[in-house]
Amino acid sequence: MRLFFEKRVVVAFVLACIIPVVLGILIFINSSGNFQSDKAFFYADAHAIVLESEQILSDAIDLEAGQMSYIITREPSFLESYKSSADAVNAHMHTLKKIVEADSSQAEQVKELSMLIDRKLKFTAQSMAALSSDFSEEEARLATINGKAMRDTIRSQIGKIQAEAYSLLKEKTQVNRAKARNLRYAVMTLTASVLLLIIFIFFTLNRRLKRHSTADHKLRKYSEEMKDLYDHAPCGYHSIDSDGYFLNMNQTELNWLGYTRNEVIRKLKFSDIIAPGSFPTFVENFEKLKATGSTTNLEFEFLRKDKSTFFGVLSASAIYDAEGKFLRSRSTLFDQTENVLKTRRINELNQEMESLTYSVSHDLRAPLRSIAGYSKIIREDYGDSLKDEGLQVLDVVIRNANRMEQLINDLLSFSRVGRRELAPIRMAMEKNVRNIVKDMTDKEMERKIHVNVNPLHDAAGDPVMIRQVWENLISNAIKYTRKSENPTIEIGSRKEKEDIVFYIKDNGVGFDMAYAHKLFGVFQRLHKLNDFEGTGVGLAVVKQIVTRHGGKVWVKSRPGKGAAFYFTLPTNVKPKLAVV
Amino acid sequence: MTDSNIVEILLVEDNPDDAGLTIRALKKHKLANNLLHLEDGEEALNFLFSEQNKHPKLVLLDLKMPKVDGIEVLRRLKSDDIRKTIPVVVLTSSKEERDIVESYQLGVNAYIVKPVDFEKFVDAISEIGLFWLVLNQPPL
Repeated sequence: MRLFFEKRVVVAFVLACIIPVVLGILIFINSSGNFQSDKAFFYADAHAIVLESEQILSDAIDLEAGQMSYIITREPSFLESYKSSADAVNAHMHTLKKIVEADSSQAEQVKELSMLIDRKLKFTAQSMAALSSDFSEEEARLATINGKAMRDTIRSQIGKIQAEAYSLLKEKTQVNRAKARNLRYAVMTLTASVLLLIIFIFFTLNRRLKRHSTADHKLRKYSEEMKDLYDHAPCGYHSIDSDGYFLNMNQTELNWLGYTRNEVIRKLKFSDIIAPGSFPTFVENFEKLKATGSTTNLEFEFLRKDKSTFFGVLSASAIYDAEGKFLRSRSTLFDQTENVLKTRRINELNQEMESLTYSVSHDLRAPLRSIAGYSKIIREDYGDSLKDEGLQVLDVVIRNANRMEQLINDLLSFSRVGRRELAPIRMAMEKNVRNIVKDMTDKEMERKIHVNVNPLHDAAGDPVMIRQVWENLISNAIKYTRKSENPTIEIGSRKEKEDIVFYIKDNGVGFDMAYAHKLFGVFQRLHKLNDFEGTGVGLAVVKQIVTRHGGKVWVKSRPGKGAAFYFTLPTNVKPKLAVV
Repeated sequence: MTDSNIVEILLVEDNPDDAGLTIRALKKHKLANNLLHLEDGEEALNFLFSEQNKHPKLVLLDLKMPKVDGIEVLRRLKSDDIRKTIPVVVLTSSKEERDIVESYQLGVNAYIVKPVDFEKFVDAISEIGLFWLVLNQPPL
């Protein structure tokens, strides 16, 4: 048997058991002590001695009285009385001797008494014998006196015996009283100890029970909290066994799926509540869960009880028994219905956007081509019949058609940047930038532009897109230094934490920083078209690309003092770049 | 059938204005003599798959057309064992990557985005005409 008690309670309990036993033994020893000492003197003996000796004395007196009566009356009946008294005294003497046999001192005294009695009996017998023959007045008087003397001696001897008996009795009583007193104390002490022990045990157990009850209460409260958390957490929980049957499901998930607990537990399999499209995912990953112990972020399409669709992301870990056999899963489910529907909507919108872009790309350009083309035909075929002003107007039409095409192209390329998948790699930036600079300055051979490319840090990015960034920034710098006397462009980089900051500075016209916030918007321009051509898309594309790489772009400038463009790129390819 | 009736260039283009520009550009280089202009993909397929007609030396194909579009015409031509050798140049306004990729996957011989600028347009069309009709050596 296991003991749940504390050691001190057990000790107290054992003591409380032992003490009454000790008490019993003590009482038994104490009381049996009175009977054990059979050689000693005890109450009954003392009383018997007193009684017997009193009887002897009384018999002796009767004997004498019988004798006296006979002497005076000569009546034979008194002779009979005398004889019976003599017999009685002998009988009592005999009894007394028996009683005191054990006590040597008393035996001596009784022996003395016995001698006195014998003498008395002898004397009385002689007196009676003499009397029956002839007995003088004088002889009778002497016999009476002697008889009295003998009786007194006997009385005195009996007194001695009785005194000794009383003395022994008194002594014995005192001893017994002391013993009884000690026993009383012992009993009281031990009883009090037992009482204290019982009180101690009571309070200790009570405290324990109280503690247990508190712990019980806490445990109940805790378990209620856990159950509440399980049932009403804002995510689904369930467990399935190795056959795929649900062993448990929390209320949140039941509500999501529209089932009651009784309809699900041990009645439905996981595969019963998923859409056919999710079945292969389940089959594959359930095996994986059993084998590897976990599976994460699986997208499932569930069928609610009413057959409507519920999308969820499921992760699970496995519970195995001691032999490593799969027992059950711990699965969590997050509601993705809204997200999936949103994503579908986004995809729809993307599709719409794409077809819009497609038709912009295709349908808007055809009329433009006709405007420009047929204007050109008018110029070629009917130019002779037009005045100069008419030809100039025709040129305006043609120029604007061409510009419109440029705007469409830029807008499409901007939209393409947003839609294109990123394919980032770690790029040797300096080599790339030098190539771009060479390509672009070759086209501007007539201008003497100083482009100073400092050593550049490598960075991670989509090479096609990053090339676009550099092209746009460098062409901007080339364009806006057109009016500078000694056009100079400086390109460099520095490392900042995990990112590389690239910059390109020019000594061009610059701009007022008050309009810097407009600079990166689509079709935003800070200069007149007559001063600097362009559609205002280049920097919007730069911002779009840099942002999609998780970087930032900013600018510092003052009118007439050139401009400095900065952008950051991550040093290394991140597992997943930010999608904006 | 006389030689002058043999179609050398088949222009499939639903937009008559664009067709006009294309024809004018070809005419400038005297390449438009044996040109047939059809206005949608269905007509083009009917023409190309008719046993009576000889195969043209070049098909200039617009992509976006009513009924049967250019991609479908291209697919049908290039999946036909006999007609897959006919050179097809897609001549379109669309710079969309998916069109370019799909056209090349189907086996297009060239993909030209029509420039808005008329001079560039004329240059482009002329070069195509000259290349495919004069310089290129088709299989016998």
